[in-house]
Amino acid sequence: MTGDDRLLARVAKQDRDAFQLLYERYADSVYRFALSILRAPHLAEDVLQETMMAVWKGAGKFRGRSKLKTWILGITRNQAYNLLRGEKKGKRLPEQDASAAVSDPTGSMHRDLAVQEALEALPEQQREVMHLVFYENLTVREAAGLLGIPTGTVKSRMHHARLNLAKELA
Amino acid sequence: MIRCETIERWLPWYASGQISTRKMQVMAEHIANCETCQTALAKVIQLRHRVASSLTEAPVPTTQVWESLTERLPEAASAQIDLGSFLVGLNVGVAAQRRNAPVRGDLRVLGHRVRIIGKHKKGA
Repeated sequence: MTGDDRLLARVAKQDRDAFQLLYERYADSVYRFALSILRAPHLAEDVLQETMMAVWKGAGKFRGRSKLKTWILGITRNQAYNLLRGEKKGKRLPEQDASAAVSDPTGSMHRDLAVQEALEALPEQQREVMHLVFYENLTVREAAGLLGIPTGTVKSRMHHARLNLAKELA
Repeated sequence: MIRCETIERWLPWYASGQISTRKMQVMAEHIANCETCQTALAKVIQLRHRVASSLTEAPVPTTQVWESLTERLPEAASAQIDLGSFLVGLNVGVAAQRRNAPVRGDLRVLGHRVRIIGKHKKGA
C-alpha cells in the first residue's frame, strides 16, 4: 500500500486532516490542469473545489486501478468539460473578461511567456496531452486511460503538439 | 530493427523515463548510433524543460478555495454524549463540533431529530 493509498483510505473514513493533506498535495496539479483546459482562473477554482468534493465523497470507491494522481486528474477533466459545456450553453455568465484568462494572480510574471503563448495557441486536445506528459509525467498508458483514447492517439497528439509548439517557438 | 519514426514517437516518454526498462534499452541502443534521433532527442529534452518550467511557474489557487471547501464538508463532532433510552425511542444528544467549537443539542424522538441548542445547519 502506497502513501497515497493510505491517505485516501483515511479520507474515505471522513478524516479531515487526511483530506487537507491530500488537498495540499494535489490542489496545484488539479488547478493547473483545469486552467489549461478552461483558461479562466475563476472557473479553474470552481473545478478544483468540485473535484476535491468528488474525491471526498468518492474516496471509498477508488479501486487502485490507476495512480491516485491519474484518478484525480481524470475527475478534474470531467469536471472541467462539464463546466465548459455549461458555459457554452450560457448557463452561467463569465465573471471575468477574456484578458483575465492570462492574468497572473501570483505575480509570477517571469514565466516563459513565449512558451505560455505557444501552449495557449495549441488545439485543446494537444494542449492537454502536452500538459499531462511534459508536466505531470504520465506514461502513454496513463494518459490514454485518463483521456479515454487509444495509446496510438496519445502518441499522435503528442507528436503534433510538439511540431506545433516548435513552429510557434521558432 | 526499430525505425527512426517509431523512436521519434516515443521520445517524450524516453526523455522523462516513463517507459519500460526493455523499451528504454532498445531505444538507447538505437539513439547511440543514430544522429537524426540524437538531434530529435535533444530537441524534445529542451522543449520538455521549457514547458515543465513554464507550468511549474503557473499560478496556484487562492486560499479561498480551501476555505469554501471546508464550509461544504459535513460537520464532524469531536465529542458526543447521548442520554436516554433507545427502547422507548427517546434520547437527548449533546455534541461539541470542531469548527468554532459550537455546542449542539438535539432531542431525538422515534428517529426524528429536533435541534434544541445551537443553530440549524442548512441541509442537516
